[in-house]
Amino acid sequence: MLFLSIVHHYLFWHYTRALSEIFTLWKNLIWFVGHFFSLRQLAASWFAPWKRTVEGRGEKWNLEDLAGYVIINILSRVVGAVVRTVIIFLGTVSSLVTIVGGVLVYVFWILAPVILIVLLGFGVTLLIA
Amino acid sequence: MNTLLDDIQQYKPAIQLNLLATRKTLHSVRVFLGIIFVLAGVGYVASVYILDGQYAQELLGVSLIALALWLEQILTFAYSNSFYYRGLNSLLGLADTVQSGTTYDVAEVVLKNEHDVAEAFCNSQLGATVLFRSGADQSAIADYLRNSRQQFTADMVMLPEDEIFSLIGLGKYLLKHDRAFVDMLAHSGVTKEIFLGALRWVVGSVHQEKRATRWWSKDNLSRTKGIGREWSYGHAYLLQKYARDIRTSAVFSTLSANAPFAKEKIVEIESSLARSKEANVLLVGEAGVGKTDLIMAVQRRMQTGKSLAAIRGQQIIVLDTNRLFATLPDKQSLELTILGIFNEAVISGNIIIVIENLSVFMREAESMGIFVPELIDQYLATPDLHLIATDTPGAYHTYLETKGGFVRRFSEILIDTPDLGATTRVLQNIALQHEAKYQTFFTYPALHALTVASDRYIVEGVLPDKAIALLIDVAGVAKQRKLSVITGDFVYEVVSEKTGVPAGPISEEERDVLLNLEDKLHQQVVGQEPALTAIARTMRRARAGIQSADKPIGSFLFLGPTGVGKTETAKALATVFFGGEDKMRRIDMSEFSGNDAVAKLIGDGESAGVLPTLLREHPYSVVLLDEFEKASQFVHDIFLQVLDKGVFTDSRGTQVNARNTIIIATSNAGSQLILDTVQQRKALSTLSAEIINSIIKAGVFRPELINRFDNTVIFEPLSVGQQTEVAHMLLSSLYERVKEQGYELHVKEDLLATLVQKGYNPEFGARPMQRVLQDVIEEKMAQKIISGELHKGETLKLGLADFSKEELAV
Repeated sequence: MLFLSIVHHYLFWHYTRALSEIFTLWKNLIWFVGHFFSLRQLAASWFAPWKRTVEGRGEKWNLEDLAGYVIINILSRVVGAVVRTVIIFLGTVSSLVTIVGGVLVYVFWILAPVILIVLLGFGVTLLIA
Repeated sequence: MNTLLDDIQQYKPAIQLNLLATRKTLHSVRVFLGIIFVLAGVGYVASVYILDGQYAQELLGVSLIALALWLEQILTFAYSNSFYYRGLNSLLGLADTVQSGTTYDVAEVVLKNEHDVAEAFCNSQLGATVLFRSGADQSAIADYLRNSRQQFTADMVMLPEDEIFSLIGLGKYLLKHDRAFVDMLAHSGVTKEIFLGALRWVVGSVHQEKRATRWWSKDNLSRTKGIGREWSYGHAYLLQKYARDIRTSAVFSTLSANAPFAKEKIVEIESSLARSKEANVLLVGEAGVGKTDLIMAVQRRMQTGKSLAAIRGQQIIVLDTNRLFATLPDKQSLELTILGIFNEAVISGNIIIVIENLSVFMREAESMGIFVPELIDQYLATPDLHLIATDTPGAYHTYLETKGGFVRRFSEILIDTPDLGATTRVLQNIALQHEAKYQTFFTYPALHALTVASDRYIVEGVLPDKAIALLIDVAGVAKQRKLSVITGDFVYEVVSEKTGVPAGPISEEERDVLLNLEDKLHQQVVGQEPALTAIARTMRRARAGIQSADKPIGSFLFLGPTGVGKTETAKALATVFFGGEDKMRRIDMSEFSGNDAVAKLIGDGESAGVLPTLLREHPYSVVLLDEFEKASQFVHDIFLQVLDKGVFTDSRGTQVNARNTIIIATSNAGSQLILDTVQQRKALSTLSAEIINSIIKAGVFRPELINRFDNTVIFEPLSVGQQTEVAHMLLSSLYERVKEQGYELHVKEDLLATLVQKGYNPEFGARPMQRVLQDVIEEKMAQKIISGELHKGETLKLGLADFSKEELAV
């Protein structure tokens, strides 16, 4: 009786409240991926020099100084852009995985009681047969 | 409106499930099934590829069954969690919308007995912990449960519609409705406030634990520091070389305990740092008040993206000024390094430098010839660098305020000392951390006592710092004495031992002393019944806690002619209250009558001053202000504050505590009027107002000063009979001194009577008597010893016949 009462209560919870709780968790994880890979900050400074490593232009006009300034700045920005691109790429992929994963979790969740019974039934059958 | 019974029904299956198998058991089962699934799965693969399919079917079957059961356990875990954490966000103030209903804890408690919620509460694990923490007597609880009483069922408890009903709500309900429950607590000496405090503590710590285990909450996820956040900023190599871990000076407490206060201050700090220019902050607060905690909170918010957008991604670095001065001994290198650090920070673009105790840093630099305001002023105006400085209010007023424009570059934020309630909440976390270490258990009254005692009796430091230090001391003593439960009484016992001041509940021995205080004082003081009675009454009031705690233990103005026992009374009080005459500290106030009186008394910036030094070295003592009337008016003004608040500010801007002293001012003012009154055989008690008025009229003391004393005590001139008593006391003391030299002395009554007659002088009290004894008895004794007539071990008996007329004519 107790078992049936728990199962009944569980199934009601499984198809009502649990769905909204999974959604909250999903939202949290999507937010976390963006936070962990600092996607907003990295996108905003995508082409900024790497750790502000730049060369001064010099007070007087000088071709050598100007060349140094341009080359170092470009190099610094390229290094920064490459590293940031890698992280932004990883972050974007992770975000997509989380989003798609969330959908899959929903599908799985809805089918979970059935999957459980099928797995159990199949396992027992294999064991007996 | 929903009832408690209705609401807890939703938890029933989850709690029943939990009763069948605890969360810990479910976790073990989950892990076990997971392992079986993996092992059987690996076995199946091995069987197919290595053993030509032998046992493959069986292994696959086992693996699938284990997977199914594991999946069932995962679903059960999710189901259990859904109820276990319900309402937690609302309780912590994190929920976006208003929630209502009960928490899991309440349901778990009440479902034990829906027909008697009080019984359910007392017999539940959480309820029992609350009662134990609040110091309730176990036998009183058992009696309460056994005796017939009104029972409250779960359907009688109505739930609020706009807030979560936690165990605190249930506790409040019992306090409000169950008279027997309140009586049971009162029987154990537990007040409603103590019970609620213990309840909040227990429930708060349970929720804190729950919150920590819920890794998937946004609050916990946001604690992870993101990657790549600093890549668009530079690196401050030089600053890092002289940086210190911010945690080394944090108190770790104030924030969680006093959330609304901390929140307000954090907003102030962030708003100041977010300004477009001069975005610097000066945190002014006593040492130990939690300034660094606030900076840490701001840092955490920046890292987790919760701070204002303008300062998000910034990093806070504490400058180790000690290392700076230790490694850079000359002016030039120090100057260049400071400039280098600030330049680097500007280029880096996301650095907030923290300088603790700014005035100390500036003073040290000044001693090397560097004027810090001039050196760093240019950086304080730029939007690329922020500076957070900290200092104490005293140093701020006496030093920083004089720097004018430099201080205006900062937004000043005052961090007040937390009140007693907030301090107790701070101690709750600290106590839990130390319970395991010291193998002791703190009750809530112990925490309350720690707060009150540290505020009242510990002179050095500020709350919550000194309360935390006291907690650690008490835990250490408890461990030494193998005490498993720390109660409020034990805390006061340790404080009394530490300070020498009687604190907390009055012991049997102390009760005897207080009730017979007049007799105790009379053992040292002759006569003066009205004066001693007045003193005893005041001291009893002070010890009973009826008097304000924000004042000295007692303060008296002793008026009367010389030699009537004013100083002896002060010594007697020192002996009775602090354990010895050496606990009386005398200040000759006639030395504080000149123009430099105030500077001599409270210091002049360079020297510390007599009063602050005395109070710091002897915070628990009787302070005797001798010849108080001779001090200047300005000195009297300082004592207005000391007598009223029990604290004053010295010349360095530091607060000095005089709350653990008995202050006695003596004065001969009005002596003549007192003598005249006695000579006219009028009762002094009826004329005391007249005597005080005459002193005020003469301009000796102002009325507001006299009113600040707990009592103005008038000492009468001694009568002949009292003078004889004095003579006996003085002779006893002489007998003791002579005995120490190896002789015995006995003075006959006829001689004593003559000496009393000669030594009696109402104007000068007992002093002439002392001189007569010295000139007659001591002189005779000295002659006998030097002439060899008296040998060690012999007894000298002196009577009137042993003296010539000349010898007695002193």
